[in-house]
Amino acid sequence: MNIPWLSIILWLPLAAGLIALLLPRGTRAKGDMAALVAIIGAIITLALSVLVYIRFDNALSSYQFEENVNWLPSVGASYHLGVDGISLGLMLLTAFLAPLVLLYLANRSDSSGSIYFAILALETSLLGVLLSADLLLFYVFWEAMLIPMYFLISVWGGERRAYGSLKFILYMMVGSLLMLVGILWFYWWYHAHVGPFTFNLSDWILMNGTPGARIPHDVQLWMFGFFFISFAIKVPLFPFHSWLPDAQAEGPVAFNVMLVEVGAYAFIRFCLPLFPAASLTWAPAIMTLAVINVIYGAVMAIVQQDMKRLFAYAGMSHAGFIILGIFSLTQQGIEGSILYMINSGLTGAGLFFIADLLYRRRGSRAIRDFGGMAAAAPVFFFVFMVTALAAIGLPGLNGFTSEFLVLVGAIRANAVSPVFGYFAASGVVLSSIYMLWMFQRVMYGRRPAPLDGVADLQPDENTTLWPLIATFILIGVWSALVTQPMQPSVNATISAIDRGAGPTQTAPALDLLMPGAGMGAMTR
Amino acid sequence: MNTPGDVYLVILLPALLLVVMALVVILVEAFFPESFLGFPTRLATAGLALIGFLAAGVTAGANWGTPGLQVEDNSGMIILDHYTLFLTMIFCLGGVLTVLISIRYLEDTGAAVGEYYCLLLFATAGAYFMAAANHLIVVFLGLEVLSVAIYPLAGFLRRDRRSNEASLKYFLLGAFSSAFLLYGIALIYGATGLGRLQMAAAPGASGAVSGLARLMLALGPLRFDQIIGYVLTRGSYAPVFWAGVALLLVGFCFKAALSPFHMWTPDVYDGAPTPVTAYMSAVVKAAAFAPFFRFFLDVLGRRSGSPGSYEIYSHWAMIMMAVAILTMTWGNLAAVAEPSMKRMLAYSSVAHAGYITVALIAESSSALLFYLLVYTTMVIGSFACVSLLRRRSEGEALEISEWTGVGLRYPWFGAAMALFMFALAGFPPTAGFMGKFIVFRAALETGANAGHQNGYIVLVSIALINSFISIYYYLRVVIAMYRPAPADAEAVHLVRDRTAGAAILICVIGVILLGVYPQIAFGVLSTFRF
Repeated sequence: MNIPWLSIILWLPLAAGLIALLLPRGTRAKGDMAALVAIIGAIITLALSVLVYIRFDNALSSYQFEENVNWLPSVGASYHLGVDGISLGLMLLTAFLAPLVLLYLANRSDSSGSIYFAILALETSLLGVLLSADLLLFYVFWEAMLIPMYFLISVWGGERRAYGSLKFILYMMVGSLLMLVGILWFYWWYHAHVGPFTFNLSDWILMNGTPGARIPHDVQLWMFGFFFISFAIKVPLFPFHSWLPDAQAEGPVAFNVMLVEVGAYAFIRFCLPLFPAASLTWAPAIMTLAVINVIYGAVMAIVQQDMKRLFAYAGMSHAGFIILGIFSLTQQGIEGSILYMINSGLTGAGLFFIADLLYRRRGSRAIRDFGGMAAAAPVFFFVFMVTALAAIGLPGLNGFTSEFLVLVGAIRANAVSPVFGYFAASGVVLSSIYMLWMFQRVMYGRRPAPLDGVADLQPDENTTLWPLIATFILIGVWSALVTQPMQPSVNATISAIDRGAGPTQTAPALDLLMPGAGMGAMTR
Repeated sequence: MNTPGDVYLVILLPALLLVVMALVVILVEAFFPESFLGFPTRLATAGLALIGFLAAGVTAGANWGTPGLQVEDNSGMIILDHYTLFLTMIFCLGGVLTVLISIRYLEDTGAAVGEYYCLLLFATAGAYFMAAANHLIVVFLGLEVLSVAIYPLAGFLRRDRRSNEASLKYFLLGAFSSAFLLYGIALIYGATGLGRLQMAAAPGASGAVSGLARLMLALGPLRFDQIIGYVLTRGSYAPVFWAGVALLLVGFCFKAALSPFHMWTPDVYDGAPTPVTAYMSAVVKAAAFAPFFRFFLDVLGRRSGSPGSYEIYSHWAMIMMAVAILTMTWGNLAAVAEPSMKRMLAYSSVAHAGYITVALIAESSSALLFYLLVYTTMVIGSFACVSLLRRRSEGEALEISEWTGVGLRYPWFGAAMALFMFALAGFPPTAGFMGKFIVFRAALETGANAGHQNGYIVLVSIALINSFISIYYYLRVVIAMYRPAPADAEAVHLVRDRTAGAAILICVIGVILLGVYPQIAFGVLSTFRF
């Protein structure tokens, strides 16, 4: 029997969202009805994703649950879905976060069918990005993702939401259009050197693994660049990051939480296997940016007064670790990165939920407006503490394993100098400074004003936060749950790089021993 | 369908249906001023117009699968192929949507009704002839039928000064450009037809041939395939002929609103009644591109087959590239700073004409037709939304600033408008993205085949940069719609109009469907080669 599991997982959220949207508006009971439909849809999606996880064969590196139907045959595009070890964990993460956000919002009086629709449409497009194995399909989802995100900021955002949302979308579109150029270029190259028009990812990867058809090194460098800028903006990587604090600070909690690290995922999925030689050449330069990301993000986080901006910069610092792991081009590094994407998605969700809960209580996100909350709200205190420690990377909680793997990968890398790993390790210390200092100022210290309005966690808030805490601990003590399925796929990616970079390796590899040579390559 | 009579009927049927229905409408208006068959006349005429458009569209669709479809009448002046049929369906879709938007609008503005639908039907018949023309005189006749119907339509709100201004401006400049076109035709005839004219005029040479046939013989040299013959034999150096082609280009550029002949667009689009603006930006533009494409593809394109045709093609492609780049850049940059909704959409339609020109350069009829279909749904949808938002005092809310908070107050309306804006900006999964993607891809493919790829890459890159610029001004509308309204927000309100709502719904479905599953239209288009 051939049930299109992935299609069901992909489209179910959108369908539930449409129903929630179409339910008649007005009375409170109807609002609950919309929330109920949305939450049920999201939970079924999660259940099906877990089912896929259970039935996933950990020994295979290729796509599983594959579906391939003609979509636009005259240009060679197909509706091609598949899940492998790299996307499995992130698919689960996305399917897990959406019902949490919906649960969190269901009790808010200002929620309506339209925000549920936006969240579920965003879930569908995120899943589409993760599951598509066809470049055009991927591009469509990648772009479609922007529309619900844009509306989340511009309709439900903070005071400067028009600015935040416009900045967000303009940044994203610059990257997307450049990526479209890259995609078309590769598409043409494939047509010119292999024959048929196709957007199928596996075919493209295969071409670069075939010695005769391989794209020359200098062309690869440019193509890589087009993809790179788009993904780097999404991550965001250092010089392209300025949308992040504004969008995160102005965006509502649903946007903050659903900002899954698809940019870094796309690096592993597309940049590495499609441009193996270019990845090797660019690796030192990108690792440099990643280290800057780690340190710059952390330092910026230390000085932030606004909690959401602080968490945004913390996310940027985490993104630096993720990129560091990916471009170490080692098994540990990439596995650690994927795990890190999941962890930073989980802890980021926790932190932004907490920021929103604090805002709910006092109508402010400024750190100086808080203080001495520990005594007034003990359960809140505990939840916040666990989340903050998970974000720092305390052993026993989820953040530790991924950070450790990334640093080990970066230091053991053959292709690049271990120097990057040493510098990035300072991020571990810096993260404790920004996170614990903030925690201290919010939870201890002097009370700025009577704490009348500060209640402990309410039952509905508990239902959102405790599942997150449970995942922190689960992944913290048993990270193999996540890393096991990804091993064959990551291994295949790395060997694809080795194969694809084979002949061109001699000359660049010598340069690459020195990070300075990498910078030279960037200006060349 | 072997007898000539059948052939004539098949070829002319869509146009005949439109013209006959136009006459019926005007007669109903004249003889039944109050009510017709139990309906108020204003509704009955609209209904008849709808029937006319649907009948013509269905006729065109029904002929789609007819074998041996490429029939020409004896003179070869009109040609009925898939290209004509698909364009006819686009025109009729545009006509149906325009009628749906117009019913309530005309009522609210107090304009007389009957002749409005009559003129719309005539204009569409003219558009049909432009699509079916295989002869420059037919192009000109179709163009004039279309234009003469549009002049009064643009000025239909007689008491509105700006509507009058629009009509006058369009008429003066339109007449001027028609003269260019006609002069171009004359020069081409002078170059290609001299020998034939003498032959036709010479007594005895054509024996007992009737006057009409003699005229046909005399006009033969303006048929596209005859011009090809000329281009092939003497085309490489013939200044008179090329001067004629250049003038022809000016005429086409004016009608299609291509820079630098687009200056009339914002004023006319702004002043004309909004449903007419919708019709102009969709159907008139498509009609202008129809013969333009056919002429340049048939006569000057690479497919005419001679070794020299590559050289000719590359020359005019260069000119058209300059026109396309200028058009989209000018349109987009002008739209960025435009505070008025209709003028912004007018400049945006100029920019889109630039993208359509890319399909023209690519010589890809499937990309062109797909884009025109997509563009029809997007642009009529957005003008339909514009026509529904009115000021409390009087008239439509035409400043973008007046749209503040509209999306929050009218969620469905706002969502539809936002969808059209995203579609026009070219976001997937809307049809706007697929249209652009298919056009740009076709341009790159042509570039690869034509051997000088770099020009095409530059063209597509500039088109992409322009798409990026356009996001800013389309999103200005969306941003305004979702900004909390100030205290005097009640200054504008939404007109409850079921028929226009139906039109918007059709456009929404079209924009989503063509974006998510473009194969539904592109499949049939890519199976035939025009």
